[in-house]
Order: sequence, then C-alpha cells, then structure tokens
Amino acid sequence: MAKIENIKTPRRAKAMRPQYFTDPNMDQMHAMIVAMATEISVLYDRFDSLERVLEKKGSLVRADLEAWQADDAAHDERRSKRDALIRRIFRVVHDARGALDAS
Amino acid sequence: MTRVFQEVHAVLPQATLDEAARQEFINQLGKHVLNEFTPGTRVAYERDVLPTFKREHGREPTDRHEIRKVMIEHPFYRMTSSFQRTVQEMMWDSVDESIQRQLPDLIDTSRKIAAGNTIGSISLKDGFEIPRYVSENDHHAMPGGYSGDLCDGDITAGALYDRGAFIYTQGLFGPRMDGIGKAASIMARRLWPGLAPKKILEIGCTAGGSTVGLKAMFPDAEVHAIDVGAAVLRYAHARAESLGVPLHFHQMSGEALEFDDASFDMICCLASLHETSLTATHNIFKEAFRVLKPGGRFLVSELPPYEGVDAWTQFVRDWDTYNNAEPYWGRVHELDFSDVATQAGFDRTHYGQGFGTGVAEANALTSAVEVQNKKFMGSTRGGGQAWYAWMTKAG
Repeated sequence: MAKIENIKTPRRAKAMRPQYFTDPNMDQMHAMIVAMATEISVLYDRFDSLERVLEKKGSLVRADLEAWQADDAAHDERRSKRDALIRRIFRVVHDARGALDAS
Repeated sequence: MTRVFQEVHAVLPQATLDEAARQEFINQLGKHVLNEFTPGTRVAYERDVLPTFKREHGREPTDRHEIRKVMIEHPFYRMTSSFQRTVQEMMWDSVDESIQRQLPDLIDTSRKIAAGNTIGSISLKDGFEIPRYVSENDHHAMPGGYSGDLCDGDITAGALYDRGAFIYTQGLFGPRMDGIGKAASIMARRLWPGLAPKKILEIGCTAGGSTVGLKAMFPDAEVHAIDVGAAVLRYAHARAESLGVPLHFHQMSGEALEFDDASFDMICCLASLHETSLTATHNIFKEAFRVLKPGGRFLVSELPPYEGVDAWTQFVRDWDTYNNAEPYWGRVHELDFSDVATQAGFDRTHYGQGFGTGVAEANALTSAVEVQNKKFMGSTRGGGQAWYAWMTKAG
C-alpha cells in the first residue's frame, strides 16, 4: 500500500471521453472554453472579494494598483499559478498527449 | 528563474498593468505549448500516422511534404498547430493594443528625437517602392508586416517588432534586443582574427536591435543599416539615438544598394534573407560583393540547410512556412548558399558555412534565461548555436 502522502487522486475517469462533435478538436475546444469561463468567473469573484475587503478595512488608490510591479518572489508565485491555470483550462490537450504516450 | 527586462528607451511601447499581464500570460502559454504539447506530435506520428502510411505505401515518407500531408489530418497536430498560431496572433495583438493606445506620443517622441541634435542619421525616400516580397506578406503573422506605414511619421511596425520579438524570443536576444548583432560580431572575430572594419553595413535591420549590437562590438566602425520600411527605420533611428548609439539608417533595397563600389569592410545579413525571395537573395549577394572592398567580409546568419537532416525534423522546422506566414522559409532551408555566393562573384575557396555563436552566448545569458525553449526560427538555434555562411571578397 502506498503511503497516504504519496497517493494521487485519479482526476480523470477511466473510460474514454465521449465524442460529441464530428471533429474531436471541437470537443477539446468546447471543454477549453467552459474551463476558461470558469476561471474568469473565479477571477471576478476574487476581485470582488478583494475590493470589498479593502473598502471595509481602508482605502485603495487605483493609481497605486496601476503602478505596482511584481518583485521576483511575486513573479515566481504568479508563474506557478499561471501554469496551474493553463493546466486546468487546457487539461484535455494534456490528456490527449497522455493518451498518445500510453498508446 | 532570472527575469530579463527589455531596456527602456524613448520609443519602447509601455504596457499598462492589464497589457503586461496579458503579455506575460501569452508568453507563458506559448512556452507551455512548445514544451508540453508540441513534443506529443512526434508520438502521434510514430504511433498513429507512420504505421498507417507504411501500410498504405509500403514504405516510409521520403520528405517533409509527405509527412505534412498526413500529419495535418491528425487531431493532436491540428490542436498544437492551432495553439501555436493562436499564441502568435495573441502575442502581436497584445503589443499592437498597447501601441494603439500611445501611438500619438510615440510618434511625437520619435519626431522630436529626429529633429534634435542627433549622433546618427536617417534617410527616407519619397515614393520608395517596397519590394513585393515584403509589401505583399505580413511575415511571421505580424500585423502590417515590415513595411506597414500608417501615417506621416509612423513608427508602429518598428515598435511592434521590437516589443513583439522580445516577447516571442522570451528575452533571449538580451535587454537591448542586440543579441543577433553581438553574436555575429563574436563569430566574425573568431573567423577573422584581428578584424577591424572601418565601415559596416547591415542589410535588413528592421528595428535596429542587431545594428546596435554590431556597433557595440565594433565601436570604432562607422555602422550603416538599410531596410525598406519607413516606419521601422524611423523607429530604429529614434531607438538608437535614445540609447546613445550613433548609427546611420537608409531606406534602400538590398537588391539595389546606393553605395559606391568597394566602400565597406564588412556586410551582414542577420536572420533577414528568409524574409526575401530567392531572386532577391541572389541580387543581395551580388550587391554585397560589389560594395565590399577587396578583402572585405560578408557574414550571413540564416536558417540551417535541410540537407542531411531527417524528414521529420525538416517537417517540424517547416511549420512556419505553412502556419506563420513565412513563404520563403522552406526554400531558404533548401538553398545552397555556396552556390549563391559563387554566382555573385565570391571565390569558393573563400567561402565557409556552419554553426557558430548563438545569441545566448553573446549575451552571456545562458544561465539566466530558460533556454529549454529553443524554438526560435524553428530550430535549436535560439538557445544554442546560430547557423552562418561567411565569405571574403578576393583581393
């Protein structure tokens, strides 16, 4: 038995993804667009929360926000978050690559 | 990972917070596609496409064209190609948008620089006829192409190229975008020890980043550069002046140089010939031969030849021909530059070609930049070596 810290949840169902459109790329495209919409909604919610908290606790000067630059640590953190975002939105392409590798 | 920032100069388009975020995302997505998706096309070929081809033809594909015909039917290849193309379009668009926002200011700045006390020069011609291989095609899908000239004093094409290419190459050309010029200079010194050119000409300079690199490495030389688009030249001039580098820009075709015979010690074509036609390439070599002094050097950095490269690699490198508005890309790979050189008058015994100094080495950025993304110009040259042809005019 694998140690509990080494266990990876399956994330994908075993059976092949059904094909809904005549072109399999269209199925991928659709999945990407849905994922993209989800991510955008997550972003909006987070912005909304942020602005409400800032409003309640203190003040936010918009010019400060425009002028803000990420330091190296923030830059690296954003890169890993972006990488995770790319993997979520385009997971079907990763899956297609995985299926090729396993074929 | 160490970040490379583009050096700010007076006409570099600045990005807002959102524009910068968009550019960073596109950059990262592009890298993700190239590193994680694109390698899967090889697997698709070996496991799906090749067995079918062999069954149907009783043999393996013999060239890149045969591979392309069958690969473009494969869903995974279609998907990765669609990604690569989309990322390229979005990259240009993200820069285009920021230029649009600040265009009047950029033009005004460029005008003021040109009208002030300059250390270099620019000469443009009314009614200059742009060669069709430039005017009729937006190379590497850059909106407006190299010769776009939107209004009086326009600099858009130069700004788009300078900032777009920095993002496209992921900063590999260095903060000043001068890596190709520096690399060529290092290569030239290796080839010809003691080289001390008094006059240098660069043919096809675009935004003048490579020209700045040439001047940096040969500070005692008088450096001239030509291109056909007025907007790229206005930008290149303002850019060089702002960086304090004295350069002389001319609106001129490489096929019809308006310089005296035997007037230059060194001429360079740096990653520019693949944007011209085959006929133009021949004419440019002839003109280079004419304006070189006896004993003068001609250095070309280009796409490496397909010869001796397996059909799959050829197919991969040829992606830009069909997907990135590079109609001459494939043909340049097939060109025998030694033939072009001898037809132009160069002696075969004074001709050489092969891989040499790359931009990463030139900028000493090998450790600083993530060079695993080596896709510049479809080959491994981005992070590693560049391919050169070099020749000397006998005398």
